[in-house]
Amino acid sequence: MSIVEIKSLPVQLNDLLKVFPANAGSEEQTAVNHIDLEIKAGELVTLLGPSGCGKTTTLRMLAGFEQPTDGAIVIGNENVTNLPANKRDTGMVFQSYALFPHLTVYENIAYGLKIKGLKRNEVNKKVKSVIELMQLDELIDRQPSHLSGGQQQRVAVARAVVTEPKVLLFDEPLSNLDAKLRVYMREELRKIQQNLNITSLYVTHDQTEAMAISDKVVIMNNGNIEQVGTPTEIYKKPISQFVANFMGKANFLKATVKSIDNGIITLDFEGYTMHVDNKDDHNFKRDNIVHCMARPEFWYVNENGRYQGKVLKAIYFGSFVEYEIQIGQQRITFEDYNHISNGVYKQDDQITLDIRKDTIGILPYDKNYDENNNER
Amino acid sequence: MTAIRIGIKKSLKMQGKQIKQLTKQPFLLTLILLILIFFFVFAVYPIFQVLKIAISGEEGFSLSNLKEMITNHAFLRALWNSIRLGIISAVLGTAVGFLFAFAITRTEMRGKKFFHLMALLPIISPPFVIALSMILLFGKNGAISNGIFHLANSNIYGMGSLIFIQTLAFFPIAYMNLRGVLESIDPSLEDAALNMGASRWKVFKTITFPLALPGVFSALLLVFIKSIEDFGNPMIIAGDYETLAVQAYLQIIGMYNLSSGAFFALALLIPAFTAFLIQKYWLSKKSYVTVTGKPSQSTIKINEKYIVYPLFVLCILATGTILLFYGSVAFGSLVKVWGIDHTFTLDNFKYVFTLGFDSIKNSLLLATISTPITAILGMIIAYLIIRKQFIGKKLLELSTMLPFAVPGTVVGIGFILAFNEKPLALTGTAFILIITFTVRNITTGIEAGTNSLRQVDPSIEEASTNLGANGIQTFFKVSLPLMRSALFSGLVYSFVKSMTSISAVIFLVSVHWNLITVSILSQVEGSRMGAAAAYVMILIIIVLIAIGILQLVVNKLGPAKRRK
Ligand SMILES: Nc1ncnc2c1ncn2[C@@H]1O[C@H](COP(=O)(O)OP(=O)(O)OP(=O)(O)O)[C@@H](O)[C@H]1O
Ligand SMILES: [Mg+2]
Repeated sequence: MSIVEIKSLPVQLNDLLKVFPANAGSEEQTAVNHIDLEIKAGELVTLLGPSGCGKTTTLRMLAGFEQPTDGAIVIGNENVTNLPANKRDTGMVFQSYALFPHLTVYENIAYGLKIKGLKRNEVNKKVKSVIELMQLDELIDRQPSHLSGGQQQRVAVARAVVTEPKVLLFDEPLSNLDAKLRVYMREELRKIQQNLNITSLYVTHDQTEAMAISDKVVIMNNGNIEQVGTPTEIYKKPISQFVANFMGKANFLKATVKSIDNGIITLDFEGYTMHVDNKDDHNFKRDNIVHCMARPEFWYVNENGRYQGKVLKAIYFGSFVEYEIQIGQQRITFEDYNHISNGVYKQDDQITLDIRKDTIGILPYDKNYDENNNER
Repeated sequence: MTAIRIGIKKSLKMQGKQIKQLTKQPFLLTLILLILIFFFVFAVYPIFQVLKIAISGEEGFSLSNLKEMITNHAFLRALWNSIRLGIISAVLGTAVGFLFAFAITRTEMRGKKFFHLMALLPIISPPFVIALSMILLFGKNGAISNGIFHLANSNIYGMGSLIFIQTLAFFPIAYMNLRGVLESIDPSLEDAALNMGASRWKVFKTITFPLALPGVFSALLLVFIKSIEDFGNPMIIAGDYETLAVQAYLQIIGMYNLSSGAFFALALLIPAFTAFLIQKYWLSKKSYVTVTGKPSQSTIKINEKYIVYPLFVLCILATGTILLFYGSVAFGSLVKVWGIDHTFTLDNFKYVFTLGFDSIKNSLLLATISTPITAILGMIIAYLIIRKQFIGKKLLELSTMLPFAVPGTVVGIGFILAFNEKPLALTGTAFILIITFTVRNITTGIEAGTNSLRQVDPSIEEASTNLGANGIQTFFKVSLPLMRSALFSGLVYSFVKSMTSISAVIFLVSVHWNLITVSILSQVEGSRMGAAAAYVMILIIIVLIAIGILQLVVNKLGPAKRRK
């Protein structure tokens, strides 16, 4: 640990734009559309979004593999926008690992140090310490083709951190691993990142992975940043239907604003009175039609609850039961994790539900999210 | 309208951007420019000279001149002869090659490895060796014609011999191509047909052959090109069967008639180049064969006797003939006077080593200089083509292909036309020979290089950049080792071709810089068969040793072949 020392630096993306020129057969593509982002020193920020939203492009601009069409990239105090990729001092972990197939594990890890022109014994010392850190001791003489996926992954990380880069970049590093290993490795990655306290940008399209690993999550859509926040913020208080949907299942309840108080917004939802905490971070008015966002597991069964519904469908998943419930004219999804004490309801049963006022988010009404009200 | 204008503006801006990015990498920019200039001067320009002189003559363009040329009797005869020979040799060579490939890939048969190795022999030796041993076996003093049948005046010169020789010399090319094609046909298709009750013959007729058909056409065209370009065999054995390549040579070297020679060359260029274009751009896209990279699981190989025996006999006949022909050369190099005095002697080798050693030394020296240059330059160009974006890339690809697609005779004539005068008076120098080797032989390396680089994940090179390596370091530490097998085939091809080819260099050799193939030809023309045979033996041994050495060198570049 003492040998690989990383100086944490903040990273800033200022008004970054990337337009891929029109090519034979394809139109001009705005892959990244004027985004601003700040990563604090030592923080791990995740770019999350659907395929083609510009995550990889953003990461590659930071690494220097793509030249931004406009905007600036600042690492620490240095504007690196025009610095070539080999002078950027970033450590990248590729989706395919991109280990050098003709070199051994040791040689792979030592590669960057040798390029830097370090002396042999220094190279040796640093490689040894990283090998220890990544628990690769027994593998150092193997060819990459003789390693398992998880081992290759560790070598890739070792190779990226040994040069003490200013920023660590990951492009879907776990997508080639099977589900169990993925969970294990993401914890490993997070541990190492925190140990080294290295500023990191992490790309994934798996939302659980993003939540598990990040200090901050950036939701991207179509080249734009939709929302930046901690995993909890993004999950509980998404600022758009898109974000809400992307982070998990969501119910969008069509409701009408009745009154706005200092502390509480009162709404009418299918004839029921619904209270939601007011944070004064909106500009809704009385009689506005809005969407109330509530996650399926935010509801709970309560005999004295406010909302009367009828069970349309019940599916037993073991750890929870998923219900589709008709309330007035709308349908909601409800996931009951307390089905052991609540019992399992059957189709056509009446059910009484409630929800806490601090768990509901209010979003501007969007009819695109109405038709499929409760389906993702 | 404005949309278009904006579009144009944008694309100009992008081009501008590409140039700007390149100017940020001055080394890359210089490299690309140098390569473009090199190929423009040594590939495009000489071939353009041939076209110019052929059409406009030395005095200037006149339609009547051109008409006279085209309707000239000798010209039309040579043209027809070349094309007829090309077609017949292509059909026979491809047929033998296909059966050979089928036997080796699809049947249970003994001696496959041996057959394969024997088929390589004509590929790594000068093509006209077979013509030489044709004379040894069937000529006036031929071991068979005279020795066995006691024919006093056997005349083997003419089309018949030529067809036989070219079939034997070029079927291995068809075989190598078709073997690749047959191997990559998914055997489960054949299994499926068998499983549905089709007979072996039915499977062949409805599955194997139709799937291999684009490959068969491709082989036909390749052998056709080889046959019409062939200079050595017709020169030795065609007799009065005049062909374009030989006539072009005789016009220039015998009669000093440059424009007429260029005209013959042009006539040769057109069918050869057309066949090349069809083969490269049309047929290769038609191929059904999907290259999965995995050698497919072997199916149940054919072992029915009525199929295997005839194929086995054919393979024995073909390899037996090759052995007989090459064996005669070996024997011929070790006897006093072929056909008359068969006492063992090393005189022929003594003669070669004392009087004719210069041309061996020259060939070896020039091939050794040009081989690494050609192979590494080929890998660099492959890298640029696959990994870099720059304007003029298509141009670079085309101009590197040109001297390969164009018959050697045309290249040779182009070089004399282009480099006879200042500022580039290069004819007769070693330099021009090295350049000829390089431009003629680089295409195979480029092709192998691009193919292997396409299979390397670009992020491996990006990883190297990310770790701080610049373009040159990345190329030599990562890309080149990963292109190792392509580098090897580039090296071998370029060395073998430099040592064995004749059609281009025969125009360019001089008193100071003679080459081994040209020496062999002049020994044959002077009827010193023993010396010619000794040269051939030395040449083959040099080539075999060189392949061994190259293998060692390339293995040094990295650990033994990676296992999958
Ligand atoms: N080299 C390129 N040339 C042209 N367009 C490109 C290029 N690279 C990416 N794009 C386009 O830019 C957009 C963003 O691509 P990017 O690879 O950043 O997406 P992504 O968010 O990483 O997606 P995924 O989750 O599928 O990896 C896409 O529409 C893509 O087609
Ligand atoms: Mg991506």
